[in-house]
Amino acid sequence: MIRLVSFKEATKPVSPAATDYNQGELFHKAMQLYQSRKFPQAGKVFLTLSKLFTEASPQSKASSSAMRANYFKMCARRAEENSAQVKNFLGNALECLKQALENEPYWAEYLESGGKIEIFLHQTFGCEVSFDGKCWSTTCYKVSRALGLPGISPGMTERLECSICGKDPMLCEHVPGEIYDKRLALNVAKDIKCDHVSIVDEPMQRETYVLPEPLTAEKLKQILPKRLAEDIVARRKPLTCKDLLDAIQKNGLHGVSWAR
Amino acid sequence: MEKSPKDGPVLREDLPPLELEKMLKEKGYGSEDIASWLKKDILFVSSRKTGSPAIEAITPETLTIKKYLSQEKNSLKIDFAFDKAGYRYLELLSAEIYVGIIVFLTITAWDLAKGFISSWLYEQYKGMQKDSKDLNVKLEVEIRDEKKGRIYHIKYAGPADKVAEIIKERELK
Repeated sequence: MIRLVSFKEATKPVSPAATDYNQGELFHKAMQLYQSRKFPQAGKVFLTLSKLFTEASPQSKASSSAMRANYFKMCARRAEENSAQVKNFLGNALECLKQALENEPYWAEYLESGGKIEIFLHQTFGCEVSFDGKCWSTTCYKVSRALGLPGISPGMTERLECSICGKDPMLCEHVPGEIYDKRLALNVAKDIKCDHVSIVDEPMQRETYVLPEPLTAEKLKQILPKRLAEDIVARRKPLTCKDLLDAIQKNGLHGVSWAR
Repeated sequence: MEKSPKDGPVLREDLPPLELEKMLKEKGYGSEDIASWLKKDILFVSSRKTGSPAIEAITPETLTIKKYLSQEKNSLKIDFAFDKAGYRYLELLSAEIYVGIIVFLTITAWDLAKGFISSWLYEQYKGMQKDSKDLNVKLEVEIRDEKKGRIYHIKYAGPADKVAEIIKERELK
């Protein structure tokens, strides 16, 4: 399997957004333990460190959440790479990073680390398909793409705001994609109005694929291996996009008849 | 019938010179703004109108390339001609790199900037290539050599991987 993000990359600790001398020393100690592959000890130090960020400033709050994310990453490093434990620990780490980003929305290192965890979780475990009591519905673009469903390419007009200075990007010098004082410069879209829509084979915006039809228990039994289908229908196991991708490949499923 | 980029790359070099001053006047820009823009080395011009009533639509890529260029080639005077009172950004979210009109008002500017622009486009192309195989570019460039009284106007639509060689091949002598 091609790995877009390795386990090592997904579990790499992030730095605090700001530190005083003691916090800096402790972070340094935690990183030394991490580099010596003493993950349980490193995790403990990260957890202690997370409690030392007690100031009300956004950077202090973001740092505390980020250090908790590091703690969960170290917990994940102690477990088997493909285990359910890793899925849970990295899920928690991702939540902590999202909390950190609520306080520092464009902190480049947290955005990057969160993105890597999301990719790792999706490539390793797949995403869970939601069940509404009758049918299973997925919004995973990989399933739509594997079924050969078309996508939508929307064109829209908008106003933009620079993530660094809040000005219209026309009036500032910050270049999108560059990092300024550890924050990522982005053009943040505001006041979006749809201009046109095209139907295309492969949309650049992956989230815009036409969704597949919801699947009934009957349908699942037709396309999935018998035991897996029984477990999913009996709600003993969740249905994931990986199960569907295997079924699509195995049964040669393809075409717009699968569209919702 | 005009050739479509779907039939292969379309490169037009037989275009009349861009009547820049007239075009800027038609867009309704003030004469002071126009006079100031014509003194620059490179001018980015918004080329699309959208919506009803039509307003100027600037693609974020055009602005980004202008910013990079200003940063990298800070000896050049670079500006963006746009309607300060009524413009919006046009986000296409498609497998195209859409860069608006870039007018090189001096030959030095062209010499200094062409390599940078072609590399920037190539980088964008390589980044997008991970997701999609067929990437297209629509590009319109005018270079003015005031000393020799020569104007060179290129319009290109077609595969992105041909852009770098097309730009680099255009050596003005």
